[in-house]
Amino acid sequence: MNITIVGAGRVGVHLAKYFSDEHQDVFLVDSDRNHLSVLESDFNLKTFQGQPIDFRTLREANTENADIFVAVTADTATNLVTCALAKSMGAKKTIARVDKYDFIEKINSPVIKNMGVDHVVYPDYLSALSVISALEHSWSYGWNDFNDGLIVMVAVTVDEDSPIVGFKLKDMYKESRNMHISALRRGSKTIIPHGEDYIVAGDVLYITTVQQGIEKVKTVTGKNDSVIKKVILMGGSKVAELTTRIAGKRYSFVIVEKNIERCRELTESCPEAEIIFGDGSDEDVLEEAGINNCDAFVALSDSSESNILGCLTANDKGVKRTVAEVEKEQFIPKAESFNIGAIINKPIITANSIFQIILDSDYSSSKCFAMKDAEVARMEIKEGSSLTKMPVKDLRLPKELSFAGLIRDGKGEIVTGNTVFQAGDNVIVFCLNGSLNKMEKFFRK
Amino acid sequence: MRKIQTIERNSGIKIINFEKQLTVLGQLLLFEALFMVVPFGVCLCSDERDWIPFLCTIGITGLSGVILKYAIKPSSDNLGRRDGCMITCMVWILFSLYGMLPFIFGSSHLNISEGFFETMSGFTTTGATVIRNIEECSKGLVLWRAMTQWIGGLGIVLFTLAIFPSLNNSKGVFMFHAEVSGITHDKIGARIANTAKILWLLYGALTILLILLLWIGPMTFFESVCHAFAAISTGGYATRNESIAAFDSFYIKLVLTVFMFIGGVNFGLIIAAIRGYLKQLWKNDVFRAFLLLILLNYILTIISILHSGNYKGWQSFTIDPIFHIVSAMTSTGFGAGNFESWGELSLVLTIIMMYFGACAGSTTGGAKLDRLVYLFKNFKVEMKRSVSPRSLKAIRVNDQIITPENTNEIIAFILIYTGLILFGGILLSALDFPIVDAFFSSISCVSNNGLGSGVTGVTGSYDFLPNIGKWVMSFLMLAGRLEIFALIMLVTPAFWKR
Repeated sequence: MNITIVGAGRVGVHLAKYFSDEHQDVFLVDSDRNHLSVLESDFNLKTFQGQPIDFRTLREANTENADIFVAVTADTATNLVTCALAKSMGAKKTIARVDKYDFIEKINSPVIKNMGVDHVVYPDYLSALSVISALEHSWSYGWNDFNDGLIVMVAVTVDEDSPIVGFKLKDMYKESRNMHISALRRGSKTIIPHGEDYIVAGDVLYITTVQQGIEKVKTVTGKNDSVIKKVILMGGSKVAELTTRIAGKRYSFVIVEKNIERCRELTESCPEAEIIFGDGSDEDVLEEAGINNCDAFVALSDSSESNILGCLTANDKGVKRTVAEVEKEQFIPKAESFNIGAIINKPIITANSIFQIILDSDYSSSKCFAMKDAEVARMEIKEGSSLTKMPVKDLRLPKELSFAGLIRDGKGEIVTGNTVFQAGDNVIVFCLNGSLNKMEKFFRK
Repeated sequence: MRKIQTIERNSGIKIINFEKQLTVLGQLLLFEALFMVVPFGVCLCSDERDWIPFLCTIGITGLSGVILKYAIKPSSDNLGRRDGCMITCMVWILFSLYGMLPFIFGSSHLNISEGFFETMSGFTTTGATVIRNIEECSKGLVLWRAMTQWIGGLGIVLFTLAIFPSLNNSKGVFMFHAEVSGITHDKIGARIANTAKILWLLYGALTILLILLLWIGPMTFFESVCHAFAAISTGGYATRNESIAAFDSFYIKLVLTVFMFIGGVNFGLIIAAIRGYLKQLWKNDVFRAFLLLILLNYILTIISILHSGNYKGWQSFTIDPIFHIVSAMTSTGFGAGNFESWGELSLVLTIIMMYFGACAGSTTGGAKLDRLVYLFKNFKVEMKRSVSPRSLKAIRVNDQIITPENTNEIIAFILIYTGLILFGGILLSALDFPIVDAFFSSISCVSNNGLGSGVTGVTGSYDFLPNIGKWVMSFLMLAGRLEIFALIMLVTPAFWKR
């Protein structure tokens, strides 16, 4: 596949690395020469220096033969125009990143399609969805629905006092047949575990289950659900604004913002929320906002460091649920070890969403897994695929992959060693980066 | 919590992953063994005794390869930039170490230092030889000598990148950058594997064409193959002691000149030309400079020849100087006539041509014309600035802007490159070589040229060098081939420090 990516920001680079690892031909365009030269010498891709809206640059960057064209520069207008140009040059599928709610409204989508932009992604909106998902499923670290919740992949952190510390994975399966530990993250490393592996405090488990198994997962991992009502949003960013807008009246929000101008704007755009003017890292301000009796604390300011610190303060105050936006990927493992309930990383969420679009799968489901070295994909099994020939345990799959669940005839099931796939099944695959291309040969044919 | 920390420390990234490096090297050695099957077959077919050393070498190389590849179980598959750099250097050294075995045990009867020099000279396409009488050696050995040049021409690593899908990722990119020459390292395709494939396809096609063209002329098939390998890789190993002069054929000189020239042009540019962008050839600064310099040299050489009075027949004014100039510029080092008798001017010109070589991204050695073009343009800009200090101008080579970082790289390169030449020259002088010969030989080795002068002689051999000199020259050849930084980096403390 030829993939042209315009904009080597965090999202662009994340995608470029991912697809380069997946053995696809990646062409990356950016205007910063020095930044590109580093990427060119580190990764297996070709870079082009130039402005995005520039015919020569676009032609050089193989736009005419691009199967996928992604425009993810910081500027919406640039992205839209570049995509439109690319489409008329011959790019097959174009994806633009936008920063305005209008673009994702259903009523406007034909207009955008006519321009030549096939899909739009709105990072702030996706992040807001993740925040809400994190509030809804307050006991989990991350939550991912497939097919309206027929299959659920839930990430759970293992605390030191958790009942499952020291368990072998296969012991967990004895407790319930309705769950499958698809992956496990220890430190900064994601691994696909097998039955003999032990669970250690600090691990993040990615458990796949069906709707009726969710309660069981909760009890097995020793998590308690808590009802979230009052939520403090630290930092009145766009994500905060969208969160209040999408969530409606389900929660009562308090937004703490240190810029008075921005506060005034928020009073207009978020009529339901209470706006507090002040620095979110200041304890007095937080007390005024009611941190002592709130249920959840969501830190969405621009600084990853203050977000993490804010959540730590909230943890001390006994807030049940903390969510931090962490922009820098390398901070994520650290933030996890500080016992922060959920982590939002905009570039990864956006890249995941684009990844889903490229895979042609259902990307409407919100994704809230901050994983930088793995992906969850939903794939359909085609007629005559070699996967249908024998049970999973005999398939000799690469060890970087694990089949989590499958959806057959509108019902979700957990995949076990004895499962035999049928054509038409939708399979949820968990794969470490760089292994999805190994998978393709099983699905195609 | 404590548990996580211990785990993290254990899986912490090692600065250099020797185990994985060795498995990659093992894989590459298997490859070399496979190549040796060809001269082995030739020996068997032409009933020469050298099949025994070849068989042993294949056995030893293959066994080492299998042991390295399969016996070592690396704890981590990660290879970083340092690893890539190191693998590339080690590949060249290991290939030479194993590749020299046939020279030592075969009919050429070299000792270890001679064998290493000869093989390194082959792989780096230098073409400086220590074999005094190549005509006594078996066909298998002569072919292996030519093959080393052919393999080294585009680069051992580049060759393997085209073959092994397991290197088509960041690891391969690090190795690629350590080997490819030039100011910037452009890929032709999006991935290094297809870049490498396209390059090798072109290289292979050119080789086959050249073999056929030479075969039509007064060469046997065997000689055509050997000379084709040596010419397109701009190596310069011939099958006769007299080099190309032995054939005394206008046709052969002409064909070889054309192909040496092609070998000196950036392969990316040739591919663009084949794809129909012929205009790009002329628009390319470096290509134009290449043509211009050949012309300029030709005129000056003619003057030098006329002045020296050493000429006979029309060929002395036409093909002989052209052949010599192209051979010197592209770092091939084939000898056609006795250029030493053309006068001092010709000798100086040859030294300068050897110093700069031809276009980057080709099979040639030297400092590369790209850098010369840049220095020249930079000089013009600086001149302008001394008149109007407020003027600013971006320097472009081949329509690509040269950034200040590139500038630093170029200047550092030219400095170290010259430093190495001086080092070699001083060392050879210390070993009692006449001063001109010492520096000529040093330039010849660092620029991977292989021409000799004076004691070493145009087509003569380097076996006058004492053993220590041979090892140092082998090192200089490798440094020149890998454009210095990759190799020098290995001996700097910073490379080994966290």
